Amino acid sequence: MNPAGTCWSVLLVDDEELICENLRLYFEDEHHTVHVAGDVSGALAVLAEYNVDLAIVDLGLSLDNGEELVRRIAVEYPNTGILIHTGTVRYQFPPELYDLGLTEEHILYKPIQNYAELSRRIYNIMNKKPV
Amino acid sequence: MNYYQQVFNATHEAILIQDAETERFIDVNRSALEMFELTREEVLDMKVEDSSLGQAPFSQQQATEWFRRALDRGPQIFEWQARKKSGRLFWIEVSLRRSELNGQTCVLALVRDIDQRKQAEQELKQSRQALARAQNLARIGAYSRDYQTGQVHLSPQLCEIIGGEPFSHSLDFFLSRIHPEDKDQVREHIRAAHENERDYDLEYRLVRTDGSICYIHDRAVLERDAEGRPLRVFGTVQDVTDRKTAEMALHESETLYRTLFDTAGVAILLFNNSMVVNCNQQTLNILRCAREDLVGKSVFHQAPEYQPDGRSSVEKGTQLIQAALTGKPQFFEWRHLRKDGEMVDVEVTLNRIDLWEGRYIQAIAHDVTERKQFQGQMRQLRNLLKNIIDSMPSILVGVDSTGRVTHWNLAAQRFTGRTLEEVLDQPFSDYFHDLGPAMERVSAAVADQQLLKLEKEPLNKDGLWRYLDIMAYPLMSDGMCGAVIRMDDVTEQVRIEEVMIQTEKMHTIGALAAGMAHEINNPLGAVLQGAQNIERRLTGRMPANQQVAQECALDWASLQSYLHARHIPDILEGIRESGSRAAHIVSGIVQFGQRGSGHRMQCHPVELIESALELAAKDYDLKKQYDFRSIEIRRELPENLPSVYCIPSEIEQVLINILRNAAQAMMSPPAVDQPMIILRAFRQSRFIRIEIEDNGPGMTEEVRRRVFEPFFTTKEVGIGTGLGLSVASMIVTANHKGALSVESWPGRGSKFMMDLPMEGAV
Repeated sequence: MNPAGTCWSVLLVDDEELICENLRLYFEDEHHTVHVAGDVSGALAVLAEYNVDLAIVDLGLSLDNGEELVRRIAVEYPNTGILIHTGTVRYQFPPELYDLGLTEEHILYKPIQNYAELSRRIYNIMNKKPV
Repeated sequence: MNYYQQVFNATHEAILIQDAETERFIDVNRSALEMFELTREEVLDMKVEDSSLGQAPFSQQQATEWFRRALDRGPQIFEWQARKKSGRLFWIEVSLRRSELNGQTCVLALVRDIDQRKQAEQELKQSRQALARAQNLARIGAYSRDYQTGQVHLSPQLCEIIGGEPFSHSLDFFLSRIHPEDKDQVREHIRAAHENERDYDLEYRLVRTDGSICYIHDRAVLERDAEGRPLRVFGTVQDVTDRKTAEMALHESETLYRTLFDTAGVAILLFNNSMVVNCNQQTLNILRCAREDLVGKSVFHQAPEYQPDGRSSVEKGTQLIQAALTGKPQFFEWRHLRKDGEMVDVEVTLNRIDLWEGRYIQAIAHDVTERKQFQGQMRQLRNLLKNIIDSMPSILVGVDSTGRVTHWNLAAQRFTGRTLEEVLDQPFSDYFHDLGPAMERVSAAVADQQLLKLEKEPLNKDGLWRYLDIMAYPLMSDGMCGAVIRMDDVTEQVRIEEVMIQTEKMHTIGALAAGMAHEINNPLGAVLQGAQNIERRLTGRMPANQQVAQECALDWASLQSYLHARHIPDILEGIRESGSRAAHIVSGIVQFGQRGSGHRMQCHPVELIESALELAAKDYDLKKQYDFRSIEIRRELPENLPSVYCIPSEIEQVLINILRNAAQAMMSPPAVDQPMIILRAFRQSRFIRIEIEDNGPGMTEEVRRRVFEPFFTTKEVGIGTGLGLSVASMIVTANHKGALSVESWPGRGSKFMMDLPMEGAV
């Protein structure tokens, strides 16, 4: 059960299957609904079909531009919370994402060493949205 | 007394009568007694010897011989040297004749005193001999000719002059020996003398019988009759060959020296008491004046007031003349003022000359104005060339074929600390021996006249590594072999290349690390998340766990007991920890590769130090050579220090750099026994002071002063870039408005001090 006791619809976008799978297990254990997409088009399809509360997006998608997806979510689905999940060590926002209100708080560096940290971040994001 | 007796006694001639038998005097007349200054008795008692010279040919023996001859062969007349009673010797003419007196055979001696005649004869003979001797000595011959009788006399000396025995030649022969070239002239001269009733005096040549030529001086006196017709001629002929040859030699020598004097390319000036007595043409050419401007005037007449050396012309000149007068030749330069006002520089030699008419000074001078100008131009050119080669940044050394220094520019002087005076003619390799094998190659190239080009030759100079590009160009000029060696200190260039390589490497590593981090972080994420999911599903209090366990007929409590008994949670924790550590390392590597990109923020000094220590311990380069953990780290760090506003990654970089240097210094042989680094941090006015002190070898003052200079390094290429501390200094001073300094005690250690402004200070 999540701390707020609510159930969300969560979209996981990552081309790393094991990352997605483990996050899915975590979110399911926390009683959230999980959608998984390996690329941008998959993600957009989910967003179009479901009312997604939170999108966790990997930037380093092998074929696609994760930043573009983040931008579109922020613009097209303002009610969807965004958490950028990246394998880079230090991520610098492109200005357009910065202008859309994204901050360090919206960045989660891989590897997630403690789910408690993940949980705290999601709580903050969900309580602050819309972005 | 009878008549005969009276005649006998009155006869002027002395008469003595000797007995034929006894040879004794039996009678004498009065004249005899007077002549010999004897008495009658004395005469009758004496022998002939007693009144004679008494020595041969006038002794008793010779007297007896004459006596016998007169008796045996008839009358004898001879001259005899007699003696008077007083002892005076005198000449007599004796006429001996046999006679019969009173039936008795006797010898009658008629004696005449011929002493005066004899003396006159003697004197004439002596005077003739003296004349002949004098003529012989003076080589004077004489001749005479009587025009009436045609009698000719040639003196023996004259014959000797012509060559041959005395009295051997005739006048015609003499005339035939006159030199063919002079014959006409002599004939004409004598004819003219006769015509004009003059004595004559002329010189001409004779060809002697041995073919040699002699010069004679012929003087003749003509004797004339009342009508002026020549009667006789008397002449003397003197051999003047020696005088003539000497005269000609003198004339030739005079001509020679006169020509030399007049045509000499140098000015020759003769003066006496500073007064010019004579000078040659070249003097006038050089001084551009007329003879009368110079001769008879003072030598200082046309001198400028001062000479180029600043001395008064008169004072300097007088002193030099005085010195020359002592007999010591003087050599000096002199400036003369020409009539037209132009200056001329001459080089002068003064010599004393002693002539019979007095003591002179001879000055020989030549114009050195052009040479001076040329020298001046040469000097300018040399200076220009020297300035050019001195202004070259390259070390330029000229050497001869044996490698000895002939040229040495300023760069060479700066590099070696030696001046040209110190190294001239010394083997140049002495001053670059640190080059080792490269030097041998350069020396060989110089000796073989080969072109040599070496690049980046290392040289350890005063403990610092320098790099030189070396070129040896063979040089051949004016028959002199040698070489020019050019060396360029390319240390900085080498360092820049190193830095560029290093930077490139860092960029590559940075990019590589970033890509690698991304690749590692994904699987690491899967591992860590997986481990957490396992932990949550095995031990978590989620209702789903128990529910699923129940569905699987698994007793939850037993499962938990089992997991704990088998330490499953610990194992999972181990996975998580290891994963976290891996993530930290990856993050560290990437941060290292992206230094400087950090943001300015409030940092606690102690945290910065700890972080730097952690990174230094991980330093791969350092680890290769030294284990940082074997260094004792002593921390003198208070807890309640204020924070500083800084870019933490940059300050960490500074600290790491200093720590790395300290570790490298302590590990380089001879290694320090118990390496230790003391870290201090404290507040000092509005700064936080961080000190890093080691007990390594320290550094010399020279190194200490230059340690923050860019590209300054004591490490070999590939080890140090010479940038570490200079960048550190830049970070602290420029980026953080702080200060970075160092103290060192050679053999005991070094202490770096960093002052950073406290929060809000920037």
